[in-house]
Amino acid sequence: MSFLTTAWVVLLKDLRAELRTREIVLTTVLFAVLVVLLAAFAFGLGAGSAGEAAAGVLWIAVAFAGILALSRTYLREREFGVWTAMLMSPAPRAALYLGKVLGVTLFLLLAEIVLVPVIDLLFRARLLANIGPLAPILVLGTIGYAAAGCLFAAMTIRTRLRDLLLGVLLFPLVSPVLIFAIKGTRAVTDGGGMAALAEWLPFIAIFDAVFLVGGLWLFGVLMED
Amino acid sequence: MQGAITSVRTERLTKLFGPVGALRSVDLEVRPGDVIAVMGPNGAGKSTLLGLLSLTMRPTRGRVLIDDRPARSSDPALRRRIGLLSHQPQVYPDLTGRENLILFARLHQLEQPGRRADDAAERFASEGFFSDRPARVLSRGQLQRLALARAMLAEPDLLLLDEPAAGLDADAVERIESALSAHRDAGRAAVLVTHEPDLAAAVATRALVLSRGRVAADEPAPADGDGWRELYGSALAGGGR
Repeated sequence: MSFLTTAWVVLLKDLRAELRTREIVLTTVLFAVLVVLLAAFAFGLGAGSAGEAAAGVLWIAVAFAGILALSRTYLREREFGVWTAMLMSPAPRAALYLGKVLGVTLFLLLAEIVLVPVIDLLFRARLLANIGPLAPILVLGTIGYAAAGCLFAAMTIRTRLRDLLLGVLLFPLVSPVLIFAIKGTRAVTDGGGMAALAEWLPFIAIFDAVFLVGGLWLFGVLMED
Repeated sequence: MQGAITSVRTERLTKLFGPVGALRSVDLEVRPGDVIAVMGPNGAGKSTLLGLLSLTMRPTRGRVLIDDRPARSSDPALRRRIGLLSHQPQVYPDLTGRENLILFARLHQLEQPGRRADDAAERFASEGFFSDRPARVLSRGQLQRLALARAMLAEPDLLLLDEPAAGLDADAVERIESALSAHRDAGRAAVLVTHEPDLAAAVATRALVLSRGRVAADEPAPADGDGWRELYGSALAGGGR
């Protein structure tokens, strides 16, 4: 079985489990919407300046809810000790990692499909009006977050303080992606259009490449013991 | 690594958990066709030995040699040849038994994963009764049968079983005996941790008794359950080799 086929098998496994339980997407969406609602009240619903905060609120909600998605997806691997059996299989370990990254990315993108209209409505942020140039920022920003997150979640899966460690380790590392995603989102919703996309997307893509290549390389090494 | 495993050796294998010595300087050799039954009181180091042989645990000192080469879990060809049943079922609770077996058949790159999954299920349960239900709703005994099917799915050269008969009824224990006998007769090896002298008597070719992390006895297998009980008692009374 090829590398990509293995990643696909892992992704399908995660999707099948999620379709049966719906626990990751539901909890992630609920948590993210709650963060957005709190922010909306903090900034003043519909106030003139609220739109300026929308980009930050969007990515803060994704980052916080992403921790939940990462924890839940690796909880499934920890439950019944099945992660050990996955690592003992002859499948390329980097392909297991890639499959997890694809799954978390998909779960977070589903959450963002709900988040974007909610933020658009509450913050009058013109996210939907600019969805064309915004979509690549959402996709690449989410891939970067998931690539770093899946590596750290796998590293901390067997530690007692995993939930605490995941946030503490992940946020500093992933902050460049989040900062560029916020900048790009803000520029796009300010009417920058494709020019804004062209300005900010390469920065996000560079960090995506670093996290993905680093994750694919490091995952096998870190999982050896 | 190519071909079947022809020997597994441990050299002064030691595992410490902080100041606690779980396993101390254990030398062991496993050859094709060996079924080594490992017995010992709780905390003797039996599960630690399996963890080290499965390469999921790294020794504090000493090493595991497979085909006379230091074994590392980073070698996928080696991982393909080792099967482990641990205390946990190691299956996905939200997938059905059959989905779990197909998943692992695919990860082991087995041809016709659906058929292999059905064959494995049939070996441990009539009409594969755990196949169409999520693992989360299975009873302990059913989960253990599913876990056994998963561990033996790829017909590993080295099968490591930690208390396979725990929680199982007489029918399932008979199936384990039959599966292990077939495994042994096919020239493959197994290390079996058990507290069941009768199961050990039915399938084992060698007896290993551990006490406080050390080998207390390593002998040819007694012929019956009473012989195992006698060996176990005398080995523990003797304190360790």
